[in-house]
Amino acid sequence: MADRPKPIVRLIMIATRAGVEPLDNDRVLRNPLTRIDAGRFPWREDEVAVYAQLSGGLGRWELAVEFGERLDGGLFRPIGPTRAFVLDFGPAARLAVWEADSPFRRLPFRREGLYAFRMVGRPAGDPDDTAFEVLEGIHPGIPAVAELRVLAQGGRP
Amino acid sequence: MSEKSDDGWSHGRSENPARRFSAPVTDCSDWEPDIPADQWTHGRSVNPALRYSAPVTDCSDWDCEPAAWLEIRVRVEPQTESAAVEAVIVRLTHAAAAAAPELGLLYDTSRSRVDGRDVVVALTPTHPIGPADRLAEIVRTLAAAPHTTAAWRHAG
Repeated sequence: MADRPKPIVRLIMIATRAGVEPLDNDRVLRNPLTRIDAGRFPWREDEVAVYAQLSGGLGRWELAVEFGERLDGGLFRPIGPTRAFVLDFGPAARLAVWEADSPFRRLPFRREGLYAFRMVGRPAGDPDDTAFEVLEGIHPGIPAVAELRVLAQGGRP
Repeated sequence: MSEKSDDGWSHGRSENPARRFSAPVTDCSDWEPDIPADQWTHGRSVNPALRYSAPVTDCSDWDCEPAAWLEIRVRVEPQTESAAVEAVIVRLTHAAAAAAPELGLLYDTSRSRVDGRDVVVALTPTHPIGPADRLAEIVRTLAAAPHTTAAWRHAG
């Protein structure tokens, strides 16, 4: 089952909040973010949400949003994943599109730097020790990430 | 919901077909546990991004049939090599674009063709075509080349 087509992350964005507008049932991102000016380190941002749009997968996938710090040399220091959730992309058409939003409370930034969210997944129903893989974006071979630059408040323009 | 316009296009606001999932809140208070809880500060930072909101772009006239397009017809002798024909086409396309830069003329692959011994190069304006005397002037400029005629064609 491991060869089953993986979902592709067509869009991943960070905002203060993501949710559904009750008035017209539209998905709404409130205050999209690419930078945070933190008050003092270590800093926890009270409210952050990640919105992702996925398609191209086949069958049921167990997914999670992973958060981490991007280090020099392209290294990624994982800080935390969300609890995994399962989305069903259907049996054949591979046209199913899923929107998923994941809210976070008190997201930690221990220092200035570049942080990122990425989607990870594995086929649902695989043994528990099957590793989650980082999902690609629309460009094959390149993971889809949403980055957040975190600076000290007033430190830089 | 869709409506039909007079110009043949339907329009409306389509439903987003995506299925939706909202995860429960992930409380990250215990992430990075090597830093004691009392050392963290927290809050809601101000978004430092500069903001720009573009005015609405009305696309009603995008991807419509042009009201008129320019056709340049060149008589090609049977012994002329295809490379030479291509060179003529490129030269004419550039000459036309230079003669009427305000029209933003683009090579029109669907209307350009070979017609008997003639090569017909069609150029579609991407900007409003302007007054008739200006269009006539462009035709005169292009038709000055040997074995070449030029004319504006109109839709409908």
